[in-house]
Amino acid sequence: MEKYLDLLPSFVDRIRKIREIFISNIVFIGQVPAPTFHERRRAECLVERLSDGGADECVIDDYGNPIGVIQGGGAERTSIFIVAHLDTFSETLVDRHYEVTDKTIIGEGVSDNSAAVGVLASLPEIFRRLGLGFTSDIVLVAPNQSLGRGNLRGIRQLLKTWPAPIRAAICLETVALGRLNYYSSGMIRGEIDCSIASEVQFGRHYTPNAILIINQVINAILELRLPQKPRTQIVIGKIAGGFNHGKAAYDATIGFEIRSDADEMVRELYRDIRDIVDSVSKIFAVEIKLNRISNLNATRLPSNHPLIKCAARVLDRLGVEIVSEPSETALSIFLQKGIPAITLGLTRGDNFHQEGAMIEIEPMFTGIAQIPALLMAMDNGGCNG
Amino acid sequence: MDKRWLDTNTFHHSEFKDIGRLLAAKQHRQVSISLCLPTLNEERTIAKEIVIMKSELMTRYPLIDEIVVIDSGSTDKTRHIARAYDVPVHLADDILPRLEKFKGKGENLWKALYVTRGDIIVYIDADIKNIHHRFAYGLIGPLLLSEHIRFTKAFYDRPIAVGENQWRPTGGGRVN
Repeated sequence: MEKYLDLLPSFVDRIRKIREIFISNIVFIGQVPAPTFHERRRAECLVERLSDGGADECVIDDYGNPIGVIQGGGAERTSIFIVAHLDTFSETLVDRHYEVTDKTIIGEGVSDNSAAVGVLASLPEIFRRLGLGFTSDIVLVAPNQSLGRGNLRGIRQLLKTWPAPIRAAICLETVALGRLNYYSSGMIRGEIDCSIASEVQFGRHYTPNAILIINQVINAILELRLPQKPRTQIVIGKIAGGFNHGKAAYDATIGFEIRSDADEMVRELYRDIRDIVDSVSKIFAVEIKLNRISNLNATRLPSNHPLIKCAARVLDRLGVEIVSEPSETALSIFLQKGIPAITLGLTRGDNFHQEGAMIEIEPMFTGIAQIPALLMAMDNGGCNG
Repeated sequence: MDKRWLDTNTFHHSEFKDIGRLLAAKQHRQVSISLCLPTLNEERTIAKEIVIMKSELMTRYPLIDEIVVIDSGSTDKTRHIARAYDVPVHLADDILPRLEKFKGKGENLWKALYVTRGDIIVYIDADIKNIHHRFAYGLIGPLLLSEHIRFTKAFYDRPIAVGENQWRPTGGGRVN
């Protein structure tokens, strides 16, 4: 492992010298919109860039996942995956303009996760210029349908059908440098819709307002008592409703997420929320629907796993402070299948999920340098459990 | 104008998409190529132009031998940003300083001839938001692949902005 760590400073310098390559890929790919379920154009762009960059095999699979393979030289065909989710939270279908300065790249979606996809597209060229070859096939994938209602379907489907043994995986997220995730919480993501028929109904003494009814649901959820152990959280992250300032709302929706270290706690709280929805629905005699849109089981890699230790040593040698938190990403799908995996962050940024999202260029040299060093260790068996 | 001449001497950038082919022609003809970016307060777009041209047409394929910025006296960070990407920057007023000074893009264009080294010089505006390296290879292609063409000029349907950072691909008028 020491010999790979000693290469890190030269990796950072050499990656700095070819910064135009990955900045260009970030711009070309990031400017193409990719809302969940509408990622096709960006997938085609990525495959083209992977092919231009020298990946040996480039394809979009039957599920729409863009894949590039750098063939390994080993007799046995094993794979190491590098993954960066393709879709973004933005709903726009119009091409965006990214702005580049001497220090930053600014544009919607750049920090989640367009820059990581751009780096993924650059890896064949980066590895070639660093003079690296591997025994395992290096599989570069930007799975689609990862976010929200997508429920990580792209990566789930890919791993069901991948023909070769997978040794390990690195998941890339644009932010933040120092991020080292190796566990995920159990999670259920859901939506609650309140819908009121517009015609006056027999028996009503008043006109119900969907926004106020949803507010009752929110208050009841907030009164649920959550344990400190297992660590548990309910986040109400989205709300929408109404159509006119002066009229009672016919529709209102909230989106929420239950997270816990224990799957049973997640299920129990989901049952509690269903009871709340049924109760409020009866009290106000309106239709309220509870929909589950995605779910994950709690998973983890043991904190003393060699892959985590290697990644931590790389970050330590690069002088980067490590931050470990649960991560509900492709990471959890790999871990559920018993495939060692971690998530790494590439750079720092600001204004996440807003139109003026920004990332810094300089930290990317360090962020990207993690990848070849860790891959070399993984390829040589240094991160096997 | 002879329509046959127009048909024979009008090209689409996609005909020159194979940069490897252009590179082979360049090496066969033993010519060098300079790219000039005339600027006046283009801090918002200059970096992206330089990065894309350098990445695609210098680092990955050495089609262009140098990129040079000729600046009309920007008061923003245009020159600083260009230098940050290792591109030489010349103030137009500093080139042939004994001559009378004029402002304007034309001044930058002709003075570029005195500071660039290439046998072929390509000029691209520095304020293009949807920059792509096809803007360069579309101009260079006919010069390298044809024996009789010595000058190329681009025309295209200009995109039009319909909001902050949103645009339609056509509707902005013909540009010549």
